[in-house]
Amino acid sequence: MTSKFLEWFDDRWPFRAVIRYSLQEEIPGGDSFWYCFGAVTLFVFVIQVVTGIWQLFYYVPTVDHAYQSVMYLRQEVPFGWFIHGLHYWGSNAFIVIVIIHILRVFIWGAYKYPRQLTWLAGVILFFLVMALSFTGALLPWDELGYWAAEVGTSIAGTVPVIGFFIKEFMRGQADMSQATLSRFFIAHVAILPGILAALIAFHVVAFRQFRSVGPWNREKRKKTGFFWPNQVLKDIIVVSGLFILLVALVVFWRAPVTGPADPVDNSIVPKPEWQFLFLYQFLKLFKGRWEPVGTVGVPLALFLILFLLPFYDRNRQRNPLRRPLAMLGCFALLGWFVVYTILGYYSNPGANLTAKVSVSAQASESVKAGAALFSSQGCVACHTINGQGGDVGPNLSREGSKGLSDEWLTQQIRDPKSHDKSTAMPAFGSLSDKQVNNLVDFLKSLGGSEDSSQSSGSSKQTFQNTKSSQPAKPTAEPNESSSKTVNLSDKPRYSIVGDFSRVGPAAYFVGNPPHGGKLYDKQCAQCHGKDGKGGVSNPGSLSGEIPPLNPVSKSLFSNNPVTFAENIDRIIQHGSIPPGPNPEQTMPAFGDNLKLTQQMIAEIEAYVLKLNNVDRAEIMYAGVRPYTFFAITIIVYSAAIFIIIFMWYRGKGGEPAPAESVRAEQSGKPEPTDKEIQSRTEMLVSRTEYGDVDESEPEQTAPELQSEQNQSLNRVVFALVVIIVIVVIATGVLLIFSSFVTTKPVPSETTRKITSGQTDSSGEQEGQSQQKDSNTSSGNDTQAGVQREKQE
Amino acid sequence: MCGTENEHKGSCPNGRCGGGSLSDRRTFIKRAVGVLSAPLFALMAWPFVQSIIGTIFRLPKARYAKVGPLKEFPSDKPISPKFKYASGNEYFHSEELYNIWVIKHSDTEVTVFSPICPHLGCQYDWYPQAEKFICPCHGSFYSIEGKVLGGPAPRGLDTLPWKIENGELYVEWERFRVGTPRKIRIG
Repeated sequence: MTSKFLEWFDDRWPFRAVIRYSLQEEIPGGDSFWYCFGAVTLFVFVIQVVTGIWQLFYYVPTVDHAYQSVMYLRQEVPFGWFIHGLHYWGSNAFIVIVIIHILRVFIWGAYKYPRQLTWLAGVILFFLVMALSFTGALLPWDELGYWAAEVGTSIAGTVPVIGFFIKEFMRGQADMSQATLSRFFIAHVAILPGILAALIAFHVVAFRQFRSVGPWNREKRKKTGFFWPNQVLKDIIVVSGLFILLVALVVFWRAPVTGPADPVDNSIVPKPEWQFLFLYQFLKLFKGRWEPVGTVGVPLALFLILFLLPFYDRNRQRNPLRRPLAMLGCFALLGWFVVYTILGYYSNPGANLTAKVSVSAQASESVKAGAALFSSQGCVACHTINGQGGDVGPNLSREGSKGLSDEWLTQQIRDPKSHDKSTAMPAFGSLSDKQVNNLVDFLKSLGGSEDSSQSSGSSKQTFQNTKSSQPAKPTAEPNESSSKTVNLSDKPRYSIVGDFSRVGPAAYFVGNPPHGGKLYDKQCAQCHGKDGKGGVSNPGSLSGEIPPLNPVSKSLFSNNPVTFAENIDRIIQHGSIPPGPNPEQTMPAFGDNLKLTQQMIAEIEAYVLKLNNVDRAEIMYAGVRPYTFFAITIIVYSAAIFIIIFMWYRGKGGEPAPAESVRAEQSGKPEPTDKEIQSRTEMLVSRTEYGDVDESEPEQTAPELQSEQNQSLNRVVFALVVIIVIVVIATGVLLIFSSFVTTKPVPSETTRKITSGQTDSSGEQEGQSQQKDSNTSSGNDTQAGVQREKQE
Repeated sequence: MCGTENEHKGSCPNGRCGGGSLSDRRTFIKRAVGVLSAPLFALMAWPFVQSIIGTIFRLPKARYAKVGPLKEFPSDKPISPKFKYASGNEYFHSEELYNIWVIKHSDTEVTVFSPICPHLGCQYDWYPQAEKFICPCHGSFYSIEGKVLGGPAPRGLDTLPWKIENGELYVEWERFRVGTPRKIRIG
């Protein structure tokens, strides 16, 4: 039946010829695990295509809903966490594997005649993959992607002469906007993958034609192996290993939640993703008018070095030991990449801003206030004091000994251009006279003779810019004129100012808790206490104290992150007045008064939720919980491996294979006709031009071949056993690691890494949900906007 | 030709070649490829299928929305007011405009019909001369109580939950499957 259908089909479309062309290949020197990376790259490409298309079921490319649609996919679509995570980790794996593939090809000398075009296509593919990772990062319209695209397009803008045009062409407008998102979207989902697919076809056809390059040793090349099924088995073993690894990454290291993009928020310290870190770090070496060399020259040079390789390296020698110069160049380039990536990873762009400025405890109040201002106003980013700070402006460590007058310093702070027209220092006109006086007092205390206690050093007090950046005026805008006051709950406690029923957009943005903590320290900590612990008095109110947020009032708490966020969002948006005769402090309406953007409010809400052990980015409809899915993956693969080992032992015993399977094989692939063999031979003839293809059949007799092949089979089984052992060990390590993450307390420090969302592993959530289950005190669960779905 | 695709025909009549286990070996490798590919496809297919069917039957949480002051509605006469409804539809937290049919019996008693014909989902209308709800698509007739008087409709008009607070009418917007005799909520 199937064979008849196949025949009918084959007469009308060259099905068998295509299958044969894609599967029948002799590999000089035999099959090898070294040759897997091309196939693995193809597998990752397929994963990216499928997960990418699937995300489009839920993703919308608009600036007002892109982020929410991605978070909806990740939190509320069954297996959305898996599909999104696979795409995220797949994109990282793609680059790693392509780099390994390029290295392998380079070391084997596989870019030499007649494979130059294969190499050229490969280099373009590599840069396309980089372009895909750049454009894809913007699509969620989150902090990380937004700033990466903002800086990336600005870098394109540094191209001499046409840079301005390129930048605006990429953005579609002068600023980052909907036009930018649309352009990046269409490039990421249609144009770049289309070119990528076409070039992959080009690449693979060229590869099939000229075959694997084989070992450089001519003797070893005489022995041949087969692509089907021998090499395919090795490919699929590596592919399976990679798939298990990807599942583990998705389950144990969730893709970061970096919060909604907020162009207004200046507390973001953008840093590129790891694959661009080396360029970012190397760029720092080029200053002033040399900057375009770093921004454009270096990537262009990199591209040309790789692209033109077959043309300047015309040496036909393939043995790496006889190509010392090429190997040296290759590993120098690789070393440069690795070193600068590591340097970039550990570099801290915000370091200057958080540098500590020390003053002695005995210093006067005004000096202390000045020191705090020196940090909070960002002076320390440019000026160094006692070895801490930036090097853009003059070192101020001994400013007090220079004999500058108060008036001169005041003038310098108020209007620096009046002293030096070319200065880069901004005018600090917004500071009050008192603040400027404090700063001047502080500056004059530095290294001056009057500062005798400076050297004592024993009781130094440190100020950080995270503290007291805002003068402590919590009652900024009490908003007494507001007409409506609505009760918060059945038990009237706090009056909400403004329209209570209106939940702001912030409640539906998933914020990034560490960044929220940073904003919290700036905006909320003065009243609600560090880490939300409270303890700040509020005379005239009923409780006499500003309510703490950790733990938050039971009437606001909910296990459901959306409900919880809605509850606190009303208060943050519209403000509230505590009950009591005459409360001194009232909650300002941060949203209504535009004191904070909706994105900032969302970040703070995520932080407050985290203080109460609720994860704003919790997976609400998992389909299957991540851990369970990982366990299923391991079980399924273990079963498959045991079946194979069982089959192998059975085959070793000498039992003949069942006849059906043999017939099934035959029906799919009958003997080729003479014409087909001839065309195939012609193809092979054309391949032999280079002379690395030995046309004659293998000379070995059957038993020799058999023992050799059995040996390679032993290696395959050995590899499978190694995979089992590695998987078991890796699982153990991952479980230990995740339990370590679970028991970690909520971070009180607000030092934030751009990728800190990764630590929000699902292990943490499960631990939290257990805690929540035991904490049954919540009285607000009936409001749950979205019901939880436990395991199905 | 041992070890190639065509060994089983001709030169190797028993499906065995030379030393005997070469074709077994090939078969083994092919099967191993199959056994290893199967989990890959299964583990990929499952999430991908569930992710696009798992959200279909999820019911959004219904919330009451304010329609308007009841005293502005005429008594015992169907009217079709429009109201804003904040739909928590996926990630769109936007207000959309819907209409309903309201018949006020007294200051505390009303009937609220969904404006969607339970036959195939058209919008029906009230014909005062005939004193009937008539759906223009396929000619279903309903009485003022919502009972089917004629036409292909499988059930009467769908009522919606309502409440009256401080003289204001609140309605929960719900949708029901069309074309079935039973009233099954789908959204």
